[in-house]
Amino acid sequence: MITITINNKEIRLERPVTVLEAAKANGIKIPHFCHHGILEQWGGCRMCLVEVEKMPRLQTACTLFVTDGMVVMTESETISNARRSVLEFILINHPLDCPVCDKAGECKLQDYVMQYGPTAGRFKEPKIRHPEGLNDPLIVRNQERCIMCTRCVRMCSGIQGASAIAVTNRGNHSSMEPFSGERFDCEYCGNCLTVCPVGAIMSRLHRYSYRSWQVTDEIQTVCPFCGVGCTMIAQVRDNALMRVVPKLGLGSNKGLLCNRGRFGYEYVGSGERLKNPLIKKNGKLQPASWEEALDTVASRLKDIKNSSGGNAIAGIAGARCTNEDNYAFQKLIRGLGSNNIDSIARMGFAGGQRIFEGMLGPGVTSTPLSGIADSDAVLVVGGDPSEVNPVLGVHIRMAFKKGAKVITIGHAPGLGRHRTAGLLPHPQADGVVMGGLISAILKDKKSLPGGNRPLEEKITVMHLPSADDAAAACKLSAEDIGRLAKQLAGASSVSIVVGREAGGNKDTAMLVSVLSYILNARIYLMSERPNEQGLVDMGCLPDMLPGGRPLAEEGLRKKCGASWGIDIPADEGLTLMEMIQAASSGGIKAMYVMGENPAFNLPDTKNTEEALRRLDFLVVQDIFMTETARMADVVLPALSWIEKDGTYTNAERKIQRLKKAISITGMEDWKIVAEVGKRIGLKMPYGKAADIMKEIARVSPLHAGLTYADIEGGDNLWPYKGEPHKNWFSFPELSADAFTSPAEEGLCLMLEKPLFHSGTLSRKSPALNSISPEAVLRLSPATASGLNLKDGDFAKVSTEKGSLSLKVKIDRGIDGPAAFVSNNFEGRGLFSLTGYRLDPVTKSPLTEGRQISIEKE
Amino acid sequence: MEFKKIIKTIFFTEILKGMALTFKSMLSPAVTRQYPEEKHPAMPGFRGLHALVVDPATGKEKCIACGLCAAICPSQCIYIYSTEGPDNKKFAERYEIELTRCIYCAFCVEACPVGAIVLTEHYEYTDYSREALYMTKEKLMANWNKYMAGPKGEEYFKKFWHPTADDYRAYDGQPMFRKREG
Amino acid sequence: MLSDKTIEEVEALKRRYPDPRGAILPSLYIAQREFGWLSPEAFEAVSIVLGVPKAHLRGVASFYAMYRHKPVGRHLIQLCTNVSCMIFGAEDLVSLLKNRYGAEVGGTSPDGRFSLVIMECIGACEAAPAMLVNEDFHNNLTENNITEILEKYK
Repeated sequence: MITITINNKEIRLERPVTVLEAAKANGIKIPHFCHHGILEQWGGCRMCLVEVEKMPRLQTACTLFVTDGMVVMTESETISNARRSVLEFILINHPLDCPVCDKAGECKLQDYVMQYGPTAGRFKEPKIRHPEGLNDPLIVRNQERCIMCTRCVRMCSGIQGASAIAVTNRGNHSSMEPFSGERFDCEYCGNCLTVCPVGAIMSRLHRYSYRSWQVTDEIQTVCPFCGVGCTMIAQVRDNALMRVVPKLGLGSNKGLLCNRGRFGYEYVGSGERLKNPLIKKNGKLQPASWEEALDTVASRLKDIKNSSGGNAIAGIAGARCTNEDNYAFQKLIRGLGSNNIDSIARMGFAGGQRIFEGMLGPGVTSTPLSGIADSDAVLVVGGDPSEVNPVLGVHIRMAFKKGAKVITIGHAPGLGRHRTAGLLPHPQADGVVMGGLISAILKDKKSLPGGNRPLEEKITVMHLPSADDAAAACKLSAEDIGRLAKQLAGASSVSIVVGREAGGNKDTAMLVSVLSYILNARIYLMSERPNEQGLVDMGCLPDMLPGGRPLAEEGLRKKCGASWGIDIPADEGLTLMEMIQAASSGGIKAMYVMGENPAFNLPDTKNTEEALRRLDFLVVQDIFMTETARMADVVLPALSWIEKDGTYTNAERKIQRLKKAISITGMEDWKIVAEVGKRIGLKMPYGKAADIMKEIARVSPLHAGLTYADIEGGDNLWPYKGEPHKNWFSFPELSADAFTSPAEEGLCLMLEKPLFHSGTLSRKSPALNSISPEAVLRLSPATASGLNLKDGDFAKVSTEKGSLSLKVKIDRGIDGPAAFVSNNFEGRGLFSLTGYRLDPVTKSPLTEGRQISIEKE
Repeated sequence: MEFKKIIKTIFFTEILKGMALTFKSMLSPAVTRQYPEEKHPAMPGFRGLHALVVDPATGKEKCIACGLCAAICPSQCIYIYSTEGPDNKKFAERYEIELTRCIYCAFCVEACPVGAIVLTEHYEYTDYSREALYMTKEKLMANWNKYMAGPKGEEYFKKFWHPTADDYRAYDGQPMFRKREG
Repeated sequence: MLSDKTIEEVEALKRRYPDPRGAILPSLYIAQREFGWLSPEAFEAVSIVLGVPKAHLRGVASFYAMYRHKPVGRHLIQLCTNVSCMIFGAEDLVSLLKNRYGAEVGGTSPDGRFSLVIMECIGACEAAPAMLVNEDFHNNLTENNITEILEKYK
């Protein structure tokens, strides 16, 4: 126990911290610029000077650790004089343009000058000028205002791990610059913006559009871009979204954001938003009244149900929609007598989770994000977390900085500088490497842990390849595999981060479970959309009811049906890709799509589009005119994330509140669904989102008794206050070819998950488009030079399915013979080039036909 | 006492006194102003209708859209919507004052760091519609050109309101951290 | 990109230091030798070999005076104009170089052949004026022999 005295107040401390932290914890404010809670200490701004008894000079509180019996004064005349001098120095070159500076009002320099500041400076020399850095589309640098606290540089290199900015021209002319000196060449996470205490580095999106005190409302909500579910604060002025900011220490993201979350919000105010319902008349979509549109939807669905039966109707739920929306939606589809309900979670998330839960027990993916940074080893398989879930990626980088072993299997350029080793087998041979790793670890560990009998039996009959065989099969070094296995086996706390591609493949998913079991590792399932977990929990699956209750169990089904006043059909419905196949063969006649764009986001675009065209009746409910909406018979405009109340469940299985910040005319997704439901005779008496939550809490045993107050109060971690479904262990069989690497050689087409985009919403965001405006073909320098291609050339990429003309971008982060194409830009998506096959267990579409030829144009 | 009263009553002294005053006033010059025909001259510093200062050099407003006038306004009747101009400088897209709520305290004038808003000496702006009393940027700039342009405006600034930025001027007209001279 | 030999050199330097950041200055100097100046490519190449972010490299390099951040001519003339050299007519040599080759002080001749830099004493006062062309030392310069010397550098 350490006892110190600050300002005559006795403070007891458990462990030695800095004077600044001790003071802060006890409500004593010490002014500071360069200190920041999540950054390493620097002690460079000299603002936090304090007097310490028996010490000859003033000390910096942010770097001075407390010792027993220390007596500190944080305010005195000497200190004020010192601080005033520091401020006078800082202001020598400061332009004093507070009247036009966007930071004014929340600027630390302004506050401290008001508190301590000199009323006049004594320097008469001309100020050093730096022209404002306006060459970047998103970030504006004003180096005249910079006080050289280096918070941004420490954030960029220490936390984000991008190291994209540095102090250049050290000395009188110091300035914080990105490499090019003008435009940023970075991940655009914008975390430097968060930490800048003055107006030296700011967002260009809301530049000069408002002052901090004009914000009328600050609403805490959740980011709408990926499954990490970062907490953010939406600042609103006069019913318009001005900007979103994170808050230090708040939410799983702890005050970090990525480029999509920070700069992507502008789609809300896009002029392309749908405003009126549209009905197709004479082959053209024409504006209609809500009444007419809703009546049409209800009557056509009823007709099709009566003529072809409920099974001719299918629904695709939305991973961008809230739990409430999705709950109401699956109730509507089931109310129509169909279990044909699925969503984009089928692309890897839902299937992977099912296998993990089946093999390891319920809730295995409910792992708090903070655990990654505390791991000794992190294994990444099936995706690049720094691009899919950037904030999760940052946690991995933090773990690496702390000394954890980070191992990636497959392409993960975002972790290029933050990993111990990267194994790069053929994209379809992740399983072989994992098999080799498992057998090497088992050899090392000698015995199985012995907790899960059925799983252990399974492992013994798995015919795992030895490390040598695995290495030979995928042309890696056996030594590497052995060494990495030792590192994994030796770590006491292991995290396994699993991407969509590994989750969708049952073999890889099973091997991940085995690895997780023998290493006692936590599993983190990457989630590309904000509410994929919510889709699973709300029963937007063809074989599951809300709360993760299997449809097959009659008692549960009857109970659920009784509370909705309907008979839920007993047969399992079709999964996502099966629905598309059924649509093309005529088995499905009507489809209701909510907040999803299957015509673009599903593999084999051409056939999917063809299948959707064959439908008798297609309803699309979205906020933009998507590729799918263009084909629809009725288009219903919904509200965006910031315009509605509700909840999202993130990849940690944490349920979080979404709050309405601005109101516009229109209907929330759940309201539209309820209106349709009422017209076909379903009981959907919802007045507000909370009414649906009440019903969820009644119907879903997992969410039993859960209210918005609980969620906001922090009672939001799986399994909430409810009961998870137990006793449903299931162990699928490994495929016969699980441990063989495809023999094919040559260039392999890969799906790029771009950092700057994530599908339908991001491409309507002007800011994200300005940093990533078009689809590109990413090649490694070696591949490009082999094909005689340069940066900016156009190349024709062809597969069996078709061809695309794309601009070449040479990317040094790519290893091996791989060509990366994203699936984000209209008409230029990778899915128009590839086919798929369905995984027999997870039913996820696995990309096929990766062989490509590239020609220069 | 009785006698005096009787005399007063008989000789109408009260009335005569009154008539004498009337007669005196009749000969002295009139003080009542025939308002609509005769205007009242405003004293320097009179707080009348608002105007946005137009820079004679550029013909544009001097306002930099800092919003300090709106922040200080006790009746909160100033609305500013700013944006980034084509020259990457801040400018007010909309600058609006609700005259019906203004209390003419001139805090806005004092708060302005660049002396961009003034209260003119013009006070005749009653109207039958509320719209006419809702000042937009165009109207406010027209007010300046109408009532304050030329030497009158300059004089007014020098004599009465001291726009601090003029004293603190540095390079490029940016405010400078320096003690006021004199 | 750096040549294989240069990469080897940088790798060897890197091994000498416990932290690759220690090798930044000599590595950049090597890259400058190869590229002529510290172009964005030069930084990128060193960044790949050393594994140090290029923004950091640029930040470090911008502090030191002997790195060139702008393209220079094929040959760098460093002429001393300190006291002894000045007395012996170094100033005249400067104007001669300017008239003959068009190389201003701190600039490059229009044909890209010479860049001229004025430097302080190089310790050759006994044989003033003196200059360095690239890494070769020349002294006892006169208006006649300086052109002769420079003719060797094409």
